[in-house]
Amino acid sequence: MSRKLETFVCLKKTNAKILTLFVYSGEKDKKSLLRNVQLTGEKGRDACILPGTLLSGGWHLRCIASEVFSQGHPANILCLKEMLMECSEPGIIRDEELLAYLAGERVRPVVQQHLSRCQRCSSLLADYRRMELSLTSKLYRWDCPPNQILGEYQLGLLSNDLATAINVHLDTCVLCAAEVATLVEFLADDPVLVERVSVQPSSLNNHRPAPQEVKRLADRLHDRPGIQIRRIIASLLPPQPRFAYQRNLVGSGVWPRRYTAEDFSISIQIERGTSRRDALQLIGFVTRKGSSLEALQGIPVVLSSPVSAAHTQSIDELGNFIFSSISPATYTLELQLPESTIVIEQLPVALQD
Amino acid sequence: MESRKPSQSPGSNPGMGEQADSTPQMELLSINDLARCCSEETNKFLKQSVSNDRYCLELFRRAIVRRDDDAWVCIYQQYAPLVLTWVNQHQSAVPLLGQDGSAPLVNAAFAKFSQALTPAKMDNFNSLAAVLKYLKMCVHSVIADEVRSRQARQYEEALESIEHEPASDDPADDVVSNISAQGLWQVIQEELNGEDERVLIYLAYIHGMKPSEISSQHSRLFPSVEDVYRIKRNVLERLRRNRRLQMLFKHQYS
Repeated sequence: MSRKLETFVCLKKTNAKILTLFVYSGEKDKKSLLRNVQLTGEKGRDACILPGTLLSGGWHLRCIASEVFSQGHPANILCLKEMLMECSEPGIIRDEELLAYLAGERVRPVVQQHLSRCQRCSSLLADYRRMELSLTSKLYRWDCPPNQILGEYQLGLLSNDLATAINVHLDTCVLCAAEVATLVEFLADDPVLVERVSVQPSSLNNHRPAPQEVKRLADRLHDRPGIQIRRIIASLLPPQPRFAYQRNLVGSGVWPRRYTAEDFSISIQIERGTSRRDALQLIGFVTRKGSSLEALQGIPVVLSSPVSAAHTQSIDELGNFIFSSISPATYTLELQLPESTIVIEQLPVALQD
Repeated sequence: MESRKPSQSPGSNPGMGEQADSTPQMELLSINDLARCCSEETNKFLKQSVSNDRYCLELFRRAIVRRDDDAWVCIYQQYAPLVLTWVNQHQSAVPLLGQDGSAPLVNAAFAKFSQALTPAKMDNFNSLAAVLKYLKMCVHSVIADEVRSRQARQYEEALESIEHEPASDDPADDVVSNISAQGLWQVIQEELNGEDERVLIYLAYIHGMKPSEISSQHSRLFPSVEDVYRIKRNVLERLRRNRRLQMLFKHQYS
């Protein structure tokens, strides 16, 4: 109560339920009016609040703070408010307990009892509630892309830049990642929507001789018209959640990527190559449920991009495949199984820090 | 372009040559003829029988590239039952169904489809399956966005339910209240210190997570839920003293 205030308020009763609050600054004799505010309440009395004067009567005073804040006296008026509204039993509950109560968590019974009778604490609780709702209603998922964009990302229809930005966002946002997972599930297992593979000669136009397995597969495709080879688009699994402030760190955390397609799991890592300064190597690891790694040996893997010739490798006896010297680009990777082709679209291969 | 056609000529790009050869004929077909052929082929397609996509793709092309309203009407009539099935299959649709049932979501999915599928994007689709997959994605998009929107509305309604002060007539307040979410987030970030505060406030107010969820998901930063309360309390007190935020809160109260 001994704190000196430069700002003080004067209350005048307008009628039984309305009180006008005048906010002044300066000395009592040289005061200048900053603001007048009408207060409503059940009780009323004329009162002049000078430094060190307590207000009683049960008036609702929280707007004092906000009004005077706008006039540039936040610190003083906070003191004033605290003086006007003291906790009836200081120390009995902590502010953290107010937040727990606000969040609907279990708190000590004394907290609820105290809140029912302490004006200061119930007012603080109301302040916190308003702040939290104001912030959440304004900010809730403000930086999440609409589901149309997430869907086009999943279908590989976005430009490289936008796809990269979405990928980074998915790396940070568990809510969007969950929506994409729901989409993947929604689109999966719909036999109507399975696309037949398009045989495109360019996809086998390797810069080096194709292994025998690839040649045999190509021959089969050409010699057996109308062959029913399913084209299965692999789904990117959500990575470990990250946060907004980490979003500029495009390179870190994006790799390794994990994909799934039916009973196949594919993990892909990018590392700096050794042959050229800007060369990269892409390392993959493939597993299949209920199948040994040896059974995957020899499956052709084709890595292609619109700007370079296709590269072809095959899975080794340990389930690995390596493309040892590739340039940064957005690639399409295909696992060419006898009965289907698993496709990873929009695979952004770039240098990482 | 034909789906599951067993008599594809060896080495040909399925449908492309035929499409090129028959494009003039396709162009000459009326919308009604296209719609009739598309209906027949779609029925075969849905039964996973041998079908020809060209008529349906031409119908979509006229709707999307030429903006032909009659083509849109035919597409709606042809595929609305399929879209209705998808809406009813979606795991999040049930809570969204009101008095009118699934119809509003079906219409919204078609609206989204027509709005989002530009002529340039149409070039990506060379089969009916691809176009329908995009349409199905639009169904999900409409439902998931509505779920998001309802969640956000809950916060707004909760805020409105506790506000009862008269609106401010100060023009400066309007400026503050109209601040974008991005601008607000920028203001808040300037008040935050350290990784723990940034993570907590991001998860609490952008993802709407509860303290216990934040603690359990990020136990390294917040070993107990008490740590979440403590840090949150410190940040809230700091935000209360930020003048720009005070004006925002004041306006939102009104």
